Amino acid sequence: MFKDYFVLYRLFRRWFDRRMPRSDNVVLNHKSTYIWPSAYGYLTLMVCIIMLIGAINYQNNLAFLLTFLLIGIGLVSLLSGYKNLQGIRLILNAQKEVFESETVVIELSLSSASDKSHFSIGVGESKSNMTWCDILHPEMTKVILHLHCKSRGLWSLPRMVTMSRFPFGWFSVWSYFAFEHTVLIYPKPIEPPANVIKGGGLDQSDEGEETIEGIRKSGSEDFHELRNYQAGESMNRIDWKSYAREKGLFIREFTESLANPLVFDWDNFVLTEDELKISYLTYMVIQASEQNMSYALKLPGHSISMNDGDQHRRDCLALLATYQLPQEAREW
Amino acid sequence: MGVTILKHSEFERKPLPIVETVVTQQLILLPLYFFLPFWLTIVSLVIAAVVLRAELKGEFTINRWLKVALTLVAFILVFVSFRKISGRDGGVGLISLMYAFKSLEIKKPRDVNVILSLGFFILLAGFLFSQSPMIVVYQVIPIMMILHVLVMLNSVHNVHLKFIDSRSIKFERIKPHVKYIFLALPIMFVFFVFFPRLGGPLWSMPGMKSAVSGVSDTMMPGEISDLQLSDEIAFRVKFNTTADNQSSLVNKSNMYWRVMTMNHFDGVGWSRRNVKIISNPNHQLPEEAKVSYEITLEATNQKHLVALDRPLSKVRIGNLYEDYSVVSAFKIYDRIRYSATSSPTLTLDQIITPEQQDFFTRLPAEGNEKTKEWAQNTRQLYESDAAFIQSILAKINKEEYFYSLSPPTLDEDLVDSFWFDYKIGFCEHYASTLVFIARAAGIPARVVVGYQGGDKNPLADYWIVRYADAHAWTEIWLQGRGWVRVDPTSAIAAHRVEEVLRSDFSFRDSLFEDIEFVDIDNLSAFKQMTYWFDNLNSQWNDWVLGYNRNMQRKFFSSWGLSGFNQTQLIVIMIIAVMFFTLLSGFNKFANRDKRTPIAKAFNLVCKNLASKNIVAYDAAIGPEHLRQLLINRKAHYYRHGGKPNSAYDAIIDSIEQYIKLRYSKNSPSDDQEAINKLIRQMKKATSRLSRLTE
Repeated sequence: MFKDYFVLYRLFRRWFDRRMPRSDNVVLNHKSTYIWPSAYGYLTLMVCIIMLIGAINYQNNLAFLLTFLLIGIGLVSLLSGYKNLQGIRLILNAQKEVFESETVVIELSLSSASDKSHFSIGVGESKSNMTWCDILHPEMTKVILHLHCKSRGLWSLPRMVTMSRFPFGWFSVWSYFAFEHTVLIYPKPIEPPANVIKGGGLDQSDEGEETIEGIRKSGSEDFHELRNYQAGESMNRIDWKSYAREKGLFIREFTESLANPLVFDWDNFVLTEDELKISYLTYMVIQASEQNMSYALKLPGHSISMNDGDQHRRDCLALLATYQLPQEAREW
Repeated sequence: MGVTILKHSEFERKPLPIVETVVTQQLILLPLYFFLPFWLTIVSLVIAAVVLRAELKGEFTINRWLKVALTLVAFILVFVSFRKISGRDGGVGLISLMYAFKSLEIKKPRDVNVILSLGFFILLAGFLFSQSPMIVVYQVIPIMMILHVLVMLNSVHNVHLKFIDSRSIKFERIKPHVKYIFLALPIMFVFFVFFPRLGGPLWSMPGMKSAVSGVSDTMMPGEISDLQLSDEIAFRVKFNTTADNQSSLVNKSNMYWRVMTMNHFDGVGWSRRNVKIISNPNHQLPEEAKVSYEITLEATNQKHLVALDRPLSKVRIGNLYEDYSVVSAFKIYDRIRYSATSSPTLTLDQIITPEQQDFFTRLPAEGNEKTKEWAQNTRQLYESDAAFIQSILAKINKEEYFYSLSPPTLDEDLVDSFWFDYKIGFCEHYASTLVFIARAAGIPARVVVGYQGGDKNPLADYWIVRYADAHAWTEIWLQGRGWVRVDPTSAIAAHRVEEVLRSDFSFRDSLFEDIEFVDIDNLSAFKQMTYWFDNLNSQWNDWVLGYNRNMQRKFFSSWGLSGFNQTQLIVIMIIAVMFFTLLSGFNKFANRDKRTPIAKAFNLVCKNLASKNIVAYDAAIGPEHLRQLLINRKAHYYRHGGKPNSAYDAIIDSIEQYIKLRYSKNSPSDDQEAINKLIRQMKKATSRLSRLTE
C-alpha cells in the first residue's frame, strides 16, 4: 500500500522535474507554469455567482451584462496573469566567494525573453519568502536573494519558485525552476585560538618548529616589523602572541617575500574536531592571501604546494571546502 | 525610472490604498443615492468623510465611539425607515448601508478586496432601479476604478492616481484597465447572446413591483399601453384540473383574466360605479365546464383580484361583485395566493332590469356627436344587435385600423377622432369605442379590463401572466344570451390573441413605419437629437433590455442556429468564450511593444550583430556587456591581421553614446533630436558592419 504511494510519488516527482527548466539561464515557459485561484479569486467567483443568480431571478439584462463582463474580465486576467510569468529570463550572476554561514547571498538578473514587461514578479526559495520586482522590458532587474544553505562543499542551488498575482490578485500563477549551477561553499573561517595549536601551551611556542608561531619565527623576514596597534586597525593583524605575553597590542606587518615559506598543516592542530580544524585552516589561508603571502596547505592525503595568487587561494579553499566529504560533493 | 524591489514583508505590508478604495466605493454607491432615502446618502458620505479624514491625518484607527455612534444612528434610521426589511428598496438600502460601513474596517488587504469585489454586486443593484443607457455608461467609471485599485494592491511600484494634479492622470495609467475591459467585451457579448434565459424568475421578491401596480380602477387613455411595456410578472396560475379538461376549456387565445368592468364614461376615461357584492350564485354547471386553479398574485397596492373569465364564486380573500369581478376588502401589499373556480362558458344576466338597461347605455350628453349619429344610423341597417356588433368588427377587420402601442395624441372628441380620423390605437381605444358605439345604438355594453394570455413555464406546471399581457375588451348585452364577450382588438390584430406579442417589437415597428413619417431634413438640430436619442432609447429597449427567450430564439434562427438544442447552444457558447479568451492572450492584443524607439534600435543592433555572428544573440544582453564584447572582438580582428576598419569604432562609439544617453545621470533622455540622431547613427553603423564578415 505504502509502496504504491511511493511509486506514485516518484512518478509525480519525475513528471514535475521534467517540466521544470534547469539551467543557468532559465526561461520560464508554459510547461512549468501553474495557476490556481487565490482566496480573493474565490471571493470574486462567489460574488459572480450571486450576481448571476440575481440576474436570472430579476430577468434583468443589464445585470446579465455586468455579470458577464466580470466573468470576461476574470478570464482575460487569468490568461494575462498566466502570460505575465512566461518568457521571463532568469540568469544566475557570477558568484563572489561564499562562506558557510546562515544565509547565502546570490544575485539573479531578471529580464524578458518575450519582448514585453512583466509586473509584480516574486522570486524566492518558497512562496512565503520572496523578493518582489517588476521586469520592465528591455531593462534588466537585479534581485538579491538570501538562501539558506546547509554546509560547506558543493551546493546545488535549491529549487526556486517565481510567482505573481498580477493583475487583480484573483489568480496565483507560479513556476518552479532550478539552476544547474552549483556553488562551492567554503568553510566558515574561524580564528584559531593559540591554545589549540600543537604543543598547547604558550610557553612551548618558542620551541615548536611546526606551530604557526614557529613558522613565523623561523622565517625572520616573515613579518617585517611589529608596530604599535592603533585604534581602528584590523584586529586580524594583531600579533596575539605578543598580546598574550602582556607586551601590548602589536600589528604584524608581513613582507612580500619569504625565505621560509608558510605551511598550513592539518597536524598542527591538536585536540580539535575536524570541522573546526578546517575552519581554522580556512582562516589562515584567507589571512595569508589577504597579505599577499605565499603559503602551502597540507591535509592528510592532500597537499597543495607553495604558491600565491588568486588561483592558489581558490584551490586551497576548494580543497578545504570539499575535504572529507563524500565523492559526489567533490566533483567540481 | 528606478526599478522597485520589495522584500516579501514589504510587499505584504504595503500601505493600503485607502483613499482610492473609499473614492471607488462612493463612485459605486453614487447611482443608488438617487433612489434610496436621503438620510442613507448622508450617513454613507459621513462614513466616507470620517475614513478619509483619519487616513489623511495618518491615524491608524478610527475613534471607536464615533463608529458606535454612526452604527447606532444607522440602525435607528433603518428601523424607522424600513419597518419591514424586505422588498427591493429595503433590501438594497440595507446592503448599501452595510457596504458603506465596511470602509470603517479597512485594516488588511482582505478588507479592500472585499469592498472591491462586493462593489460589483452593488453596481448590479443599481440596475434594479434604473436601466437607462446613461447608468451603463456611468458604470464604466467605477468598474475601472475597482480594477485600478486591485492593480494597485498587486503592484510592486506605486501607481497612485493623483486626483489633484491633472497632469498625472495620464492615459497610460488607465490604459491597462481599458485593455482588460475591452478584451472582456466579446466574451460578455457571447455569454449575453447564448446564455439560456428562463421564462420567469426563479422566485419572486416581495415588493419587486412597487413601481408597477397593474390594472387600475379607472381606464385613462394610454394607461394600459404603459403597462404593456413592463415585462414584470403580474401573477402566476396553476391549474388544478386535469390537463385534458383544462386544455379543452382554456387555451392561450381564450385565456381572458378578468379584473373588473368599467361602466361609466365621462368623455375621457372609463370608471367603475355602483357595483354591489352578490352572494354566491347557484349555477347549475356540469363538472366538465368548470376550471379550478390557484393564483399567486404579486403585490398590486389595490383591492382587485384576478380571476379567469368568468369566476363562479367568491374566493377566500375576496367577494364576488355583480359584474363578476372579485375584489378583496383590503389592498394587496404582498404577494398572495388563492384558489378560484371559473367557467369560460358561463352565461351572465340573461335578464336585466330597465334601470340596468338605462345605466349601461348611458353616455355623456355632449361630445363625440359624429360617432353617436353614425352608430344610430348604422344600427338601422341591421335587424339585430348581434348583427350590428358583428358588422362593426368586420369594419375594424377590413378597414385600415391599426394597432399600435404608442398611438398619436387624439383630438378633443376622442372617440370621433379615433374612429374616423386616426384609426390607430391600442386595445383600450378599441374597447372604449365599441362600447361607446353600442351604447349610442342603445345596446347595453361595458368595458372589461384584465389580462389576456400567459406563458407556460416550460420547467414547471404553471402559467405566468405579466403586466405586458394587460388588456381591455368589452361585454355586450344581447337579448337571450346575456353579457357576451366581444374583443374588438382581436378583430384587427388576430396575432394579439393567437400569440402574445409582448416582445414582438418588430411587428410594432413595421406598423409605425408606414404611418409615422418624419422628414429628418427639415427638423431643427435639437429635434433631430431628440429623435436620435429616442431612437437610441428604443433600440436599447428592443435589443438590450428586451432581449429575452423569444428574442434569443428569433436571433438564433436568423443565424441559422435554430437546429441546435439548448445543450448544443451552451457548448457553442463555451467554445466561443474559450476562443475569445485565448485570443486575448495573443501578445499582439495583450502586450504591445512598449519600448521606446531608442531601445528598439538598440535591440536591432544586437540582432544584427548576432545574425552576422559577431556576438551571440541574447535578449538580456546589456549595452555595457555588448561594448566589452565588441572591443574584444575588435582586438581579435586586428590580431588576426584584419585590415583597418572603422566600422567597429563606429558601432562601439554609438553604443557608448547609447549608454550615456540612457543610463548616465542628468542624461538628456528627452532630447528628441539627440535620440533620433543616435538612432540613425546606430542603424548606419550596423549596416557598415556587414562588410566585416566578408
